[in-house]
Amino acid sequence: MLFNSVVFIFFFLPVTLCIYLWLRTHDRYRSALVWLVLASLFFYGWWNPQYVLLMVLSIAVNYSIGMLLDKHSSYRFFTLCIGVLFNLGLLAYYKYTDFVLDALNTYTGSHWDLPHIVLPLAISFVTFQQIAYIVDAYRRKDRAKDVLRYCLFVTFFPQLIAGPIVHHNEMIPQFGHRFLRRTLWINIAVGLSVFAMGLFKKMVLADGVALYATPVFDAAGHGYVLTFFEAWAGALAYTLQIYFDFSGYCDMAIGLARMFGIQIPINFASPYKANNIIDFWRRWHITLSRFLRDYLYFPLGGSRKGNVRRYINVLIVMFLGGIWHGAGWTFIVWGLLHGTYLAINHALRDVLAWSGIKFTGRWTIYMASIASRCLTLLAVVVAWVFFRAEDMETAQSILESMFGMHGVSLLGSLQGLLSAQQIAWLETYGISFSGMFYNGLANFNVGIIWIVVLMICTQILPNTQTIMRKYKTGLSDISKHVKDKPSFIGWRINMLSGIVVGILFFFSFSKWFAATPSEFIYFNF
Amino acid sequence: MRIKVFFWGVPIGLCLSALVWFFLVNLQLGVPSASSQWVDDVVQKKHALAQQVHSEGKGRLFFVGGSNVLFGIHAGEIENELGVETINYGLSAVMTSRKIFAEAKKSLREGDTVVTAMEYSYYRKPKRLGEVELDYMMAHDVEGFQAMPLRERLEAMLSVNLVRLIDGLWSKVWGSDGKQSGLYQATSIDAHGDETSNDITRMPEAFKVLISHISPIHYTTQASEEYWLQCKDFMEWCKSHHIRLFASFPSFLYFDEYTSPQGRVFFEQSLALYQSLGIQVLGDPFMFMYPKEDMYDTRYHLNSEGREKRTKQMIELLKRKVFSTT
Repeated sequence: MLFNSVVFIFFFLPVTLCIYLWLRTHDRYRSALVWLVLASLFFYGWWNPQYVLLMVLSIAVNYSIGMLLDKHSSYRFFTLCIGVLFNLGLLAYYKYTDFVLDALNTYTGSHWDLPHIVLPLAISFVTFQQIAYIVDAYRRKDRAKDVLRYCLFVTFFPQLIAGPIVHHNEMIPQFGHRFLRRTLWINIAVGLSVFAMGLFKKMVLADGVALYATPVFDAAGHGYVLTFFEAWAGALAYTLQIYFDFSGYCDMAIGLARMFGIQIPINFASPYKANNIIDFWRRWHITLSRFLRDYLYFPLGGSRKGNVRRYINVLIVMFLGGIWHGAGWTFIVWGLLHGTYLAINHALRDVLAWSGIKFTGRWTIYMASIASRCLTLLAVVVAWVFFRAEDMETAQSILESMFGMHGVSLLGSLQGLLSAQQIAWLETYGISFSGMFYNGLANFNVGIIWIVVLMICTQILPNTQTIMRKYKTGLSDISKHVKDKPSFIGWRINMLSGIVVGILFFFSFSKWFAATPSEFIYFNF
Repeated sequence: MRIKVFFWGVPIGLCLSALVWFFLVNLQLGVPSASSQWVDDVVQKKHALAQQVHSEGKGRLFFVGGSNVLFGIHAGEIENELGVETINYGLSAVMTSRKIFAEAKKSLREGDTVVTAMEYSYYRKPKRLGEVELDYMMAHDVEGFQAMPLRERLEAMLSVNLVRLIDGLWSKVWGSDGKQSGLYQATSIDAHGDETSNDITRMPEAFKVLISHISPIHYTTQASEEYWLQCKDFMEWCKSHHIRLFASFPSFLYFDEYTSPQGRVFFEQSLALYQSLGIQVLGDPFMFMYPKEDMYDTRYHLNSEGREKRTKQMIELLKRKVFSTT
């Protein structure tokens, strides 16, 4: 069941919300939690009922391990290892078996049959959430004492399928909060507003710009040699597609949770406004960065064991982060690229700190920040090519076209402005005049407008949290790292904002008539 | 109080947006669009060609269908072989079958012979009108658009994309300059109505890659009652105007699945449906299925070599079944 589907918006959500609120307003607190757990399992099982049993098994095992870790015993570390191995084992089996066997067949000449195991939805997110829980239980930090609240922490449907990766001590206390009737309607209004914004971003913006990304990557995957401009248009279109897709999903998750009176962590904070890659990872998939930092980077030593060790740790963390996103060489390369970017960024900071070099002057600082933002964006775009491409050959082909290795073809009409000699001279450098988009993959006259407009939006428009700042939509302990300036656009719950929400819903719903519901990119993880 | 008015605002916003949208879509109906202009140009060109061919005392031979006919029949060669003035009246499958038949009726005269070869997409009820079909309909077939059942028309209006709407409104206000966008042009059609751009010697490599990645279609939706009624109506019109009608089948990219016991059912049913209407059939669907080497850029379009093959097959059939007594 997708958040942007008819059955979710008009059946599942209203029914679940109405029954939950009725139970809470009639002081049936535990019944309300049971209802939410059952509804969340139903939501999960809609995709494949068989995997509900797997989910229940995972919850039972992890909760039991948490209980065992609560005891004073010399086997605590061993119990923790069992728990972590169980979670990682499940993830490895379902997600990486085919990849590992295929790699063995390719590189060792073996002939393993690929079992084609179906990846259970949400397994990557649920695994990390529960690993964090049992590690904290080992460290004696707030174990869940109530199995029902623990179940809800894992299965709560707004964040179940594609994050954010919530921390147990953020969620479980909220399930025990006293229900305040006076905040009921404001929560629904705020939740509906944020949900509408997210739905619009996903269905109108992300799916709209996807029309210029998908044909390019498909064509490259089928052996087309792209033109310079087609390759850049496709790469930039995908850069924007994944931005609005993930941003939209995060908003929808926050909005849905808020309707139930729950706040979940902010997971996305205008990442394309980052001036460096370190800042980018404080804005993109914030909860994943948090998990990797707290449960991988710090245990590896973090930055406490010298600079070189820090760079290695960063590479390891991002390598695993890449693999977490997908079982494929392209994801590994994507992760390693970002690890390299981070290591270089840290090294550059260290060099500047050591040398005492500082940028002074308002104009110098401004130009330096523009340059660093452009460079950061370029690095991110290049990495996205690997993330999206079906295989390494496709990614290589697209990047070759992007960097002019297959020549650059300009508009045919420009030939008229040049002499034959000039044209011949340009041709020696691979510049021709056969047209910028001669493969006819999509209507790039419109595509370029989409790309330019959306890129400008990512740079200058305030994000949802800034717009909704009066209502504190998500948990803000993470967003304190994000220094977005407050915007003059502030949301107020009134008739006008209701009308705007209605307009956003209209444009989103009209997309149901254009194509079948599209899946969120992060659903694949 | 403010929270309550927020909840009133949501349906108001929804309804207001819908009303404004439907109003704007209606406003630009009938305004030509750059993306569909080539189709209208093809239609006008075919009308003009049909007017120019007089054929005193003798009937003419028309091939009617979508672009499978446009790309896949060499009317000039048929004319040379049979001594009958032949017009390639292939249009485009973005037009509805109703519209194609209506356009053909404008050009046909008593004594003519018409062979239809309509694309298989018409034979089955589509789930929803496609973007290019809707684009053409809004620009050049407003009558057909307004004749759609209300629910389908509302769905179609909701499916109009914003760029197309803006294009239509812009042309409404500032006038359309007749510009075309897209890959196809009517200028490559010759004096017999044949498409000339599908020359295999000038075929881009990209098209070969494209063809190699087309996969078979599985026709599972129910038969389109509307199409078969239109065929019957067209047959009766031809009869009343003393025009001989034959049905044939479109050129189609071959896959083994189509000749498997399950796959062939759709094609055999299509043949049977024509016969049940009393329409004489030339050939069968399998005869007009061709390998990738004969295709141009879609599963229906033949390149020049494929077209020659199909034309030869058609000439044999015409000699045997249509012109054997003349």
